[in-house]
Amino acid sequence: MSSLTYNHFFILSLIVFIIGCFGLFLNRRNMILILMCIEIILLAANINFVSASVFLNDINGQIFSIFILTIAAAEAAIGLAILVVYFRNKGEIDVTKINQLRD
Amino acid sequence: MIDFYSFAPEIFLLTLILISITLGVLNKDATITINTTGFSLLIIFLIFKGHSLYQNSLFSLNTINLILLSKIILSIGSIVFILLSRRSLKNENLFRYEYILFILFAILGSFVLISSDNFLTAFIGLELQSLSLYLMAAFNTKNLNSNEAGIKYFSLGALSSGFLLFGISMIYFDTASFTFQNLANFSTISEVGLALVLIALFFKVSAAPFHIWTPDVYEGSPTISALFFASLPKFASLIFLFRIYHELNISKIDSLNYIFQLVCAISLLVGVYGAITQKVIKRLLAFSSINHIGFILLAIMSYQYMSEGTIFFYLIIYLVTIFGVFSVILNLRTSEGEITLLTGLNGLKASSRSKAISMLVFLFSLAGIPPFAGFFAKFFILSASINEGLYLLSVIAVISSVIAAFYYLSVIKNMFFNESENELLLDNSKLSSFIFIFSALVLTLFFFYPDPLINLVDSLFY
Repeated sequence: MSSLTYNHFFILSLIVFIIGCFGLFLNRRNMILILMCIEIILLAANINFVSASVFLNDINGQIFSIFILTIAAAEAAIGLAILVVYFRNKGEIDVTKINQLRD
Repeated sequence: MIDFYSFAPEIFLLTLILISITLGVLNKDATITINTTGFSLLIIFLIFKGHSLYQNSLFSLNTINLILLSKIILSIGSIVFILLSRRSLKNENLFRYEYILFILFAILGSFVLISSDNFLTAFIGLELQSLSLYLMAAFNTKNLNSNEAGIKYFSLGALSSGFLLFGISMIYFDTASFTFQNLANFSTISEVGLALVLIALFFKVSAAPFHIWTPDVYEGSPTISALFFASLPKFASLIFLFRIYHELNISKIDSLNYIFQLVCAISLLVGVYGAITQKVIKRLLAFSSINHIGFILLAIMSYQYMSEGTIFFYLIIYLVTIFGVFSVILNLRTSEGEITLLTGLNGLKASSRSKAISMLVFLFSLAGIPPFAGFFAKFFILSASINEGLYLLSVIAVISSVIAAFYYLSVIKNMFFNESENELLLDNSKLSSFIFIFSALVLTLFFFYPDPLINLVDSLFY
């Protein structure tokens, strides 16, 4: 039985990243799903940082991932705040209906 | 041992933010006074003691000059912007002291971004900047368009920061370092990572094909926020892009250089193609800014044949023009509110001659028509890019500015030869009149007295 190498983690993070991106583009319904997909993309980067940090024996990657966690939290808070304001005016958060601004 | 002295400007700004948070609750107008005084002190400090900040750093002398000059320009820009925003927000009944805080946070983020020497600080600076920008776009909470602009900006901006992070993590895996100086000899994985980082930066400066958010966000958000998106944070991101391009030697990596050239060409073309059919002023300005980003990317690529001064010259002229254009637009209202459509400018000459003539100067300068400073900015870039051997891109740039002249001239036709439909209510604030008259004078007088501006830019570099 082969042991885990860095490549396994890299492929895992790549798959998570691609899931996040596809979720963002294929999602046709809910704005909340977009927020979740953004979190998934940030999670992919975090997996990559932490695993690279362990395999390279270098602490900086883990420090970076802590920073990402805090900034992701701030980002989600701001995203939800804007969404709440939008919901108050519009009454729904259907992605397909966000089309007032166009040519 | 951490050298705290070298980030004195950032610490100063942070103190200013903390003071404004406390003071803003008690007295909204006092935050404005405090911040303009604070920024003035910061400018004086940077001009006279700036070089002592980075004497222990590993930056080269050119980079230090670049950082200092950008910080001075950002501080001057934020003083003007803070004063302008107060008036404009009061007109819209939106004046709350939080807006000033967002400006300060965005400027702090830009400072961190400009002077970062590794990807960690760059990421934090970029996020600090863009998180405040999302909120500024959605600042008019009662207005559905503004909310929608905020949502669009947020969802695409967060996606681009995801790309940035994933790119940085790939670079980290390959080179075990974030610091720009340690990054050399890229393998394929780092190249892909760096491509993702570049895509995120192109998104932030709204270069095509990553520009989709720009027209919508400019149109929906309050006009004063649109001015901010077009000017200061974009300036900071461009300086950072310039630093990455040269400190990581991207010109030596064929694949990335190819991406750069492609983005430059597409920006130049999309900037004019999209603008031709536009009827809304802010969308037109958005596409025009995309076209200018194309020029600046061309300047970044042909750096060998010019000094940082030339890129700075273009950026300064661009900032002056954009501040001028927006302060004219912010001054024009009808009885229903702000003017949005280009036809709203009809007959501007009859109602205010000084505004119409200043707009004429700005639009001629944006189009690059000779006696005005915009022409020289474009001319320097084109001569450098031809020396660099980027013939195809130079031809595209020239063609694009010829087509661009068409829509700038059609705006001028509206102002001078069409009859007005609604009566324009002129809101003559002294400050914005001063700003647009000053900008128009800078752009015109440059032809007669070029030395002051050129010497100013050059003396800071040598």
